[in-house]
Amino acid sequence: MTRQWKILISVLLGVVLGVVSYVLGSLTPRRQLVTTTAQPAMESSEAAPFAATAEDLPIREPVLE
Amino acid sequence: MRILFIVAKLQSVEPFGVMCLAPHLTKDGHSVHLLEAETPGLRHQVEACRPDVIGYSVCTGSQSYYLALNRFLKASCSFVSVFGGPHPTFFPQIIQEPGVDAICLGEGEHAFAEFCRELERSGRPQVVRNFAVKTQDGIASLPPRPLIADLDGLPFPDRELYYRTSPDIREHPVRSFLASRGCPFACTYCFNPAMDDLYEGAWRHVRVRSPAGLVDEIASVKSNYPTEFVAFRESIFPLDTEWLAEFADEYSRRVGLPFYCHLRLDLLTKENVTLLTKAGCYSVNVGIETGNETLRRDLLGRRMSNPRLLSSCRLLKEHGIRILSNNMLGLPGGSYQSDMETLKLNQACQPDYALAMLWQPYPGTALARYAETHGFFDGNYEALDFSYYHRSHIRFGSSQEKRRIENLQKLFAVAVLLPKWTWLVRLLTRLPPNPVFRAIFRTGYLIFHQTEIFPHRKRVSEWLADFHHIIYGR
Repeated sequence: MTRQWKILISVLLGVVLGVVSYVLGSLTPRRQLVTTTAQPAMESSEAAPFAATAEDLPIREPVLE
Repeated sequence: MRILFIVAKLQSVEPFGVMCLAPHLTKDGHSVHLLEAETPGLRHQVEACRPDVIGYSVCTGSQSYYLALNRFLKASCSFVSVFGGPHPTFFPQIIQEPGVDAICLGEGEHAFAEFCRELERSGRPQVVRNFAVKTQDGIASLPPRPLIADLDGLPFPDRELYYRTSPDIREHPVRSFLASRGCPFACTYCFNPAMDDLYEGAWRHVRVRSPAGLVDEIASVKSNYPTEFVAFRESIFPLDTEWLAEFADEYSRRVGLPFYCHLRLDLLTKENVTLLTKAGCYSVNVGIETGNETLRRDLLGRRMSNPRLLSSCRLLKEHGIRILSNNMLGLPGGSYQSDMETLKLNQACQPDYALAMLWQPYPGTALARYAETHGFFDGNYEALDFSYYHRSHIRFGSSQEKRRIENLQKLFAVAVLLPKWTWLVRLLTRLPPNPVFRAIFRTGYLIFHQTEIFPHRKRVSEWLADFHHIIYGR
């Protein structure tokens, strides 16, 4: 099978499975295992301090042996 | 004593931590068991097992799950719980959680065995080196013992424990191995520098198994279990020329199967790539991580230029070695534009599969501290997911930018393979996150990983399980 075919199959199958997942997901609640998994974090649109630099990252030299 | 390990879900990649601990415990006369948490009737199985100790190997993102599981089991069974693995090692505060009796930090083989011996002798948890233990007087801890110097002296991991628990996986023809431990590099997002801190600079000195000892293990596994493909899972496969020449000779003569390993592109030379080819290297996993050289150098601590990455990828392709590139989108201080640079570099490098992850702030790493200090991350490690393919936990300039980065991660592999359609990917990233993008990512991963990187026979039941995961998984 050529790479082009693999890409095509990946995308088409992905679309089909994604739609199935969406339909089933809207019909049934998601299964939970014991009592909990990690809870979703809060989305935040608050602007981050982009002026921050990476200067304080402690990057050390590698030791090649 | 009866010692039970519980893992959330047994998958085709072997749980090395548990498999490495088991032979040391068996040698001391303990009976060792393994259960999958998703087994129906888990509580009854645990009650039937009557374990004295239950061990959990915990990665960040799964800690809430294992803590809940432990509390659930403690409600009806009496046992000593031990949490080990990366999360307790780099986030030892987990010892304070209700139900956690002890944690094991770093290399656990000798430490866990000693802990169990002391527990059997005294009847209650005692602190030993590498451990923190809850006592009546509070939490007691001791620093780690020296790293195991001679890896060849260790018993082979107990694979039978794993395959006995999951007979289906016994038939999975890809087998994983570790050729070395440690890493000399200090990438800021990686656990290796934190291990180096824990071991006061000893972890950076890589310990390598002898080629003969390593091939002994692989040959033994090949003769006992159906094996078509070998995967080496350490951070960087040994590239010392002398070692590699001996390995290439031993491996091709006694095993002769295609293999996969992790490499650093800036360490590749014609000489070591030729030796890898001679040994039978079929595919490699290499970190491109980001297309922006400044971010790569100053933020990630990876000093390699884009031209160097390109020439190394060309070298691998000239030798017929397949490439899986690793990339991290959503870096703190990065942006949608810098992630598009990553896409562009991957399109130029032409890997056989380009895997993109959403960067996660793992505790103990310099980059997580940086993200927290500069307000990119709120420090809530409990909120992290099992998976780094789902969503980002850091703050960006706007929620729209975050959405575009999360969508780009899902469409990344297809976009690398179809560079002429980048304009469409740019448009699609503007849509809300949705199950279709997620399924395209997982389907592409499944098909390309299976056919390009890890070629092996797959049973219908395995394909069905994968499709089930695509539909129902997160």
